[in-house]
Amino acid sequence: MAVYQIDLEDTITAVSQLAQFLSDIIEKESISIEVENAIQLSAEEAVVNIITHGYNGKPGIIEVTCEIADGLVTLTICDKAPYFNPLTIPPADVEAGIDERRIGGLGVHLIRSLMDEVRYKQTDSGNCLIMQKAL
Amino acid sequence: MEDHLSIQEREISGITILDISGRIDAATSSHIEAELGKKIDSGVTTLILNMKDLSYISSSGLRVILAALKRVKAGGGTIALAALQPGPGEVFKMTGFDRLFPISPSVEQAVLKLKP
Repeated sequence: MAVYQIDLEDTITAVSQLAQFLSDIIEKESISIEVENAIQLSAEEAVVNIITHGYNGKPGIIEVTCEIADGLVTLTICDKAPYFNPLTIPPADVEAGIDERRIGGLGVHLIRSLMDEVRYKQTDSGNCLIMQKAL
Repeated sequence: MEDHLSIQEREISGITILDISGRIDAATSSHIEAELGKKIDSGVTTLILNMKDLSYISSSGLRVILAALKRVKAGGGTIALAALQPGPGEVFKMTGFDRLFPISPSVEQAVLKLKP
């Protein structure tokens, strides 16, 4: 089993730091391109949602843990933002045509589509999103 | 990691092609937003985005190209996508964006479809 962890605090560099953190794990653990795309996307969408909505663009800590064990990758992303369960967001209408399409709202849809299992947990200090995918 | 986004411009048969390489994520999407904005502001309404060397796109990138598509459609134009790689291709399918944009396997085929 391998566990990797990073704390992101700077909202400007968080996405690049996250991408590099995951890229290093992907290389070290020889993760397939398909799983790489899924975890990079799901992690980015979760982190961007926390920065934009949870912290309203202000600095705040985001703890990212990536665990590789028993043929599964588990991403756990925790914040200290006000309680909010992103899984309560209604499914995005991906059938809508160009005129009806809203700009945005696709992040949680991508997480749900790309990962095998997604869970939300409220903690004493904030929120955790736990996302799992088979390797 | 190929974390940078680079955009180069060329023209075939009078159609503007943007060759995009690298990643379009929340950190780089403002770059392509600015490039697309400049082209559309200058009066270009038909564009091909060559995604042969695009390794990754997140919802931040989707948002930018959807906004650009809405703008050019209002002017009677379109944005076609060419040579999508498997990862970005999967994202376009999952979000239904493959039905909003004309998609071609190569730039040459996209040009043939768009040529007046």
